[in-house]
Amino acid sequence: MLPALSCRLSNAKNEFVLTSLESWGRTIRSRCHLRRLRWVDEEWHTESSSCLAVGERRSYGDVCLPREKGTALDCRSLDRILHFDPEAMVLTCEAGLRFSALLDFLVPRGFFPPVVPGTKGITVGGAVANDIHGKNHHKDGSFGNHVLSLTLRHHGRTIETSPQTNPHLFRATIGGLGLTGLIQDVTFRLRRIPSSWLLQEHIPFSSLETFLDLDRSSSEEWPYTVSWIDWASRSPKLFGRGVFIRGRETADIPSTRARFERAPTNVGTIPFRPPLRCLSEIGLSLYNSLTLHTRLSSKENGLVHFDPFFFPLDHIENWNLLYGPKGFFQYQAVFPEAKASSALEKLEKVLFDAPIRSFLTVLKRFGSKNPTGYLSFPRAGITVALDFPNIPPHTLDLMERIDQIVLESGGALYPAKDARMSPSLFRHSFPNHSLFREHIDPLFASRFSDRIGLTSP
Amino acid sequence: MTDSSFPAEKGKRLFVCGATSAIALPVCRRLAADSASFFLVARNAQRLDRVAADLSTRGAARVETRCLDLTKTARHSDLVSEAFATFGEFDIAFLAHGILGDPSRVVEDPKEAEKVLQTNFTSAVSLLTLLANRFEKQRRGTIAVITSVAGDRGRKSNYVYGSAKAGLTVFLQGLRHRLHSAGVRVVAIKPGFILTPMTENLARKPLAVEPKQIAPDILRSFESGPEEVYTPWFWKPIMTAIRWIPEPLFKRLDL
Ligand SMILES: Cc1cc2nc3c(=O)[nH]c(=O)nc-3n(C[C@H](O)[C@H](O)[C@H](O)COP(=O)(O)OP(=O)(O)OC[C@H]3O[C@@H](n4cnc5c(N)ncnc54)[C@H](O)[C@@H]3O)c2cc1C
Ligand SMILES: NC(=O)c1ccc[n+]([C@@H]2O[C@H](COP(=O)([O-])OP(=O)(O)OC[C@H]3O[C@@H](n4cnc5c(N)ncnc54)[C@H](OP(=O)(O)O)[C@@H]3O)[C@@H](O)[C@H]2O)c1
Repeated sequence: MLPALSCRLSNAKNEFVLTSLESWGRTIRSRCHLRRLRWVDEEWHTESSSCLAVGERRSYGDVCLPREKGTALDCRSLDRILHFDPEAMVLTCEAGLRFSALLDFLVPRGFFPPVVPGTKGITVGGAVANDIHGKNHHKDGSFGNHVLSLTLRHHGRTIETSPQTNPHLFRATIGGLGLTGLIQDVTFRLRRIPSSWLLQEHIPFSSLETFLDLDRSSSEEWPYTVSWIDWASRSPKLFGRGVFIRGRETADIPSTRARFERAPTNVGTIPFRPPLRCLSEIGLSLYNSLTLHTRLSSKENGLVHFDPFFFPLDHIENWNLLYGPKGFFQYQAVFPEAKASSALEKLEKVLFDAPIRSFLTVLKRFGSKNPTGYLSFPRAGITVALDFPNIPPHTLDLMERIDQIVLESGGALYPAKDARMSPSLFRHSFPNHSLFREHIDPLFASRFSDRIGLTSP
Repeated sequence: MTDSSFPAEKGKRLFVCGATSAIALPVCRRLAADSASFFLVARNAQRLDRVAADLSTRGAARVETRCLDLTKTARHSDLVSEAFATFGEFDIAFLAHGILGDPSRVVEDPKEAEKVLQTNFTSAVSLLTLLANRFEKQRRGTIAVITSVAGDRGRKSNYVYGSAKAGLTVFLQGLRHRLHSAGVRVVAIKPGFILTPMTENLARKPLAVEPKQIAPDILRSFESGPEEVYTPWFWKPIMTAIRWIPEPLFKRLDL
């Protein structure tokens, strides 16, 4: 509810007053105009010379923050579902539709989005503009691989784009970080599901090597895989243990369960903004040991509802506040296949010696499906996501050290999670950046695009 | 309320004016999920099409749309005839159209004031009269109209709009009286501040809520309970208190 709250407080005389917007990591703020769009045909007159479409602002850094004094076009009321074709397994909706609402619509009908991230709190527009990936990347690729067409407001005109029509603009818009214009409507392919339940298995591992083995042996038969690794412990015995989680859809459910059960709606919220960081290192190692313990207990293996399986963090709506007023950084990199295991070993060593700890570390294999977007992040290899509390100057120093490993391996950083990568690391991560540049709509810019040099303020 | 001659498994049939309203949307969506059928009226064709598509995909059994500027009251008779010819009967007529008027002009420019009265009051009276004749004959159903807490007491910030809504509320009281014996519900829904395009540019919106937060109250009012509904509920005590303030004091307040 955090983003909604900050809009509400500031909506008064929305045209003239500046609002302080923040994103999920809460390390960067932008003072900007806020304009809530209701209709795709609406003419928004910009009080400022630059704007940016934004969704739920679940990106961690500044890809979803407009320039200072720019205009945020809040797309969340563009949430109409325009067409649903169960035979063709295709849906068209406006770009502000939230995944939670999409799931409410699809699941009772026996369908699922082609790709879901670790939270159902994002919009379809955000899923396109960051070309998001999920636990099924190794089999199905990223969200953009399933998009059939997009309607875009680009240079003041409404344009259809698809792999056939305006294909270059289409490729620029998928993973395009909102810089090619306002995405109005999205048509994408769906996945059919036999029930709202999955069969899940948790398998403990004690080293990176065993993780890689497990991963290799699971990718074929398990459409959903992800791993959680304890790179937080200070004890060499515990450091590096983890749990490999795999799941598959199932129709085989006990008669006591409804085949298509909706997601539970009882979520907790943190009712205020804690003035201090609530996540301490001691609390963290306790948490990690507990999670490891419960995850290994047998009741975690077996039937599980899709909601806790895909969105375990959604049970506390605004857990990001627990990191306190300084916020936190997420660092997500991908290491290409050939260099992945050596890069991970180096990373493990750096992290063990580091003065601060990653509170939650996730490993996942990306498959070899070519992404659609010029700036798409996923590519064949292993991706790692680290959560660091913002403790100056240690956090930034540590991330710079990890940058070196990414550069050496020819890997990339994920803009959706980033608040500090350098222009040169961006260019190394996204070799197609110059192809992309031609499609930027000059009215659109973000703090991210200014920072890494795609646009100039 | 539901007549035995009306097959229960079929969804409700609704006649909706101001169908592109932000307040009406979550209400219609809920009913669409229960296979309701809709006859939708608003001015903007493109927007109306999007709402119609949204309701269809979410489960509406049937959606018809008509574009009309409802201040053209001469067209109302044809509109209502056409709607009843298409659907036979309606379970619910829901009037959600309205404008606030340009706040800086409406107090000084009689033309702007007239537009506010025509949209919020005159057009509604014309439609309601035609609808009442039909509902009286079908002897069942609900006529529900969005008025406003602004009609409870005139204030300098929006008294033109407020007077139109006050007139409408009194009109609905009379209509309720008339249609009671025919078994027709006549509901006046009085929202407080709701975050919609209508209030987008207001400087002050105390206690404002999203449309979907008041949708359950509106849906309930279609079926049963009081026929004058404040929503959210806390506007009832607030407006009671505001009505009680003596005029000499009220004049001095900055409300
Ligand atoms: C708990 C958590 C778990 C996550 N897990 C994953 C994961 O597993 N995989 C993954 O890939 N990501 C993950 N993310 C990141 C998240 O999926 C992306 O940041 C996503 O883009 C957020 O969507 P949003 O609607 O919040 O968009 P925002 O963050 O508001 O915006 C993201 C980008 O989309 C653009 N945009 C939004 N709407 C439009 C529009 N209508 N037109 C044009 N551009 C638009 C913005 O300009 C911006 O560049 C996670 C985030 C959180 C908080
Ligand atoms: N928002 C609040 O705080 C609040 C509070 C109390 C009461 N209300 C009342 O709630 C109702 C709905 O308003 P809202 O807040 O949902 O605002 P909204 O989204 O602006 O809806 C207003 C609707 O009225 C339609 N309309 C306006 N003039 C029309 C005309 N001449 N002919 C046909 N349709 C017309 C508009 O459609 P087109 O533009 O497409 O024609 C639109 O669908 C209104 O009666 C309003 O007075 C609102």
